[in-house]
Amino acid sequence: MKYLFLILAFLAAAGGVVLFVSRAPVKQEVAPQPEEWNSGAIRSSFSGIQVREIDPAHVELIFSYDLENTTGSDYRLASGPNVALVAQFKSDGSLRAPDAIRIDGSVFLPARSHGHFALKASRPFNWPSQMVPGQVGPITQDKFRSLVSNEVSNVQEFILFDQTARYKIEFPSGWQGSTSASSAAALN
Amino acid sequence: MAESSELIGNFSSDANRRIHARHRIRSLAYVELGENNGGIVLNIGEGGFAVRAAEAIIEDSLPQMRFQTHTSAKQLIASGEIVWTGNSRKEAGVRFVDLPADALGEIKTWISEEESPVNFKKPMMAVARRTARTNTSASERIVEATEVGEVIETSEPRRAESYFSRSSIFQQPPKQSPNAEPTAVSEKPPVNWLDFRVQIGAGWMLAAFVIFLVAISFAAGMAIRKRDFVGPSLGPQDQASQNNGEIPSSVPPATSPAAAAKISNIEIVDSSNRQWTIPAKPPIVHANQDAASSSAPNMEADSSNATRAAQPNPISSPAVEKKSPVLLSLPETSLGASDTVAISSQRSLSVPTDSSPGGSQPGKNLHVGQLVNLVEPVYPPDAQKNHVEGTVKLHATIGADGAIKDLKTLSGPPSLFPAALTAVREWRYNPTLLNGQPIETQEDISLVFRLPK
Repeated sequence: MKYLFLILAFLAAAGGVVLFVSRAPVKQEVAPQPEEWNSGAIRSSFSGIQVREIDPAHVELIFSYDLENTTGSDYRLASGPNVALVAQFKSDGSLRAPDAIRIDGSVFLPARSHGHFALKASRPFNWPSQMVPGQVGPITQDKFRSLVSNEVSNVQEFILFDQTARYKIEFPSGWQGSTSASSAAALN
Repeated sequence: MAESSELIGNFSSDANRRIHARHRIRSLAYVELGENNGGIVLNIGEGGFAVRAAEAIIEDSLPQMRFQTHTSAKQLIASGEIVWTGNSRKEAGVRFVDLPADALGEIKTWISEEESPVNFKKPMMAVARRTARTNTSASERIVEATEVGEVIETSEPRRAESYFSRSSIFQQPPKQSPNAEPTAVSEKPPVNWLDFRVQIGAGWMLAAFVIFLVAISFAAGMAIRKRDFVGPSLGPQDQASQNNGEIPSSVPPATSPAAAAKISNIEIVDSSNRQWTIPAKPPIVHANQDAASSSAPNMEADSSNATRAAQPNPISSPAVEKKSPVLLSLPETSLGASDTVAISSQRSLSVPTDSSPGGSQPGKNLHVGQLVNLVEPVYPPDAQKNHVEGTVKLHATIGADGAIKDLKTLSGPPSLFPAALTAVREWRYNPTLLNGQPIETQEDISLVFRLPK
């Protein structure tokens, strides 16, 4: 039996050596590689679009989202040099920097909690002069729809990359097929 | 057992008289005691040896003994005399007589080899293999004594017989009777062959098990390495377990763009924080097919009477199977508002039905022309002066070209009619197309006049 114990000890030692040798170089090998983006940590869902008058010639488009922090760690989302916002285009799926769309302030998401978030874009727009409460004429409605449609018609979704936390937050589109400025209505 | 005790006594008393110490023989050594007898060397010294013979030893001297050590292929020849014998006379002590010097040297070498544990191992295993078969059949054991007085367990006496039967230097010994007394045999190897084989098998199993454990630990190491590599890009569950060791129980499924909530409304907020909400989608026209009858449509003739679409077509011919048109009413919409006038309208149009099998469904490929030029009425100064307010209702027929073709007043303050009619006559629409063809539509217009505050 003592030979068996010797064999066991030898094999255990050999296994330890193999384990150590196999781990050490691979770690060195993968260290320089970029980490994968975690797209499940922060989830978002589309909430709505608002058109807000800045002055008679400019409006602000506000895309609202609900955010959920699914992790066990607190998270703060704010604009900064390590945060990149891009738009994924429908036409070719490419990612491009959206035209003057910015993050509205910052949002603090405690672990496993929800929060609201907004992306904003300022656009030139001639605000209708005769807007009375409760009534918006069809032409005026089309004017607003056209404004929104021009902004998002080719955008699949907005994506925010937090390079510090390696989070990828996808802001899904909620506007597809809903903001057509066409005056035609098909019956079928 | 009595004979064994006697043997012990013989060995012990004999050992005290010896000049040269006897050494236990771990290997098997055969000795030819004469022409018809032979035995196994039990122990040996430079002065003699103890032997267990196959046949009873009757002689007092052995003039020509031949034996061979495992260390040399050379056969030693020596003469000796019997010093003692057991009761059965098969065990005896032999003293060498005139032992040649070379034979003495061989015996010394043999003794030294037997004393060395390293050199013992190999011959012992060879002997063990040779004796395995006889050992396995041992059913009874006896206690035997060696010359040095230690008591060991040995297997049954038949083992020795098998040695004789296989030995090339011995003749076939006569079989012993079943009642033959137990005889001394050489010491059995310390490890039984079967036990040895079992140990080897268990060892390999354990070795395989350890190799398996090593493989598992290696795989675990690789997995840990991968986890280290992935780092913060773990999924939410992994990350949760990494952070707090628990998994969120109510994590909703990943939101895909296709599953995202669609915009239902666009919220409008002006600089005064007044809010409006408009549908993100233009209103969808729904068809009312409650007027289905057997009359065929006639768009041109019936267009001016769309609101009365259920009435019989005045120019319909009995010879031609026709059906009454379907009246489509669009939702009432607000067209615009100012401080003094709010305008709303409801469009309606009649769509023919086709009873033919290949005919199109009512309303199919219908595109409703929208208002593109809205002129709001100016509040008549006289009406303002007289504080006249109210709602003027008009019915307009919009031609295929989108212009107001016919306009009628339905109700309201008469002093407000001119302003309302003047403004609405300027309205222009995009043509309404049915299956690509422009058609007339009807519109009920409401103009709410309110005095400015």
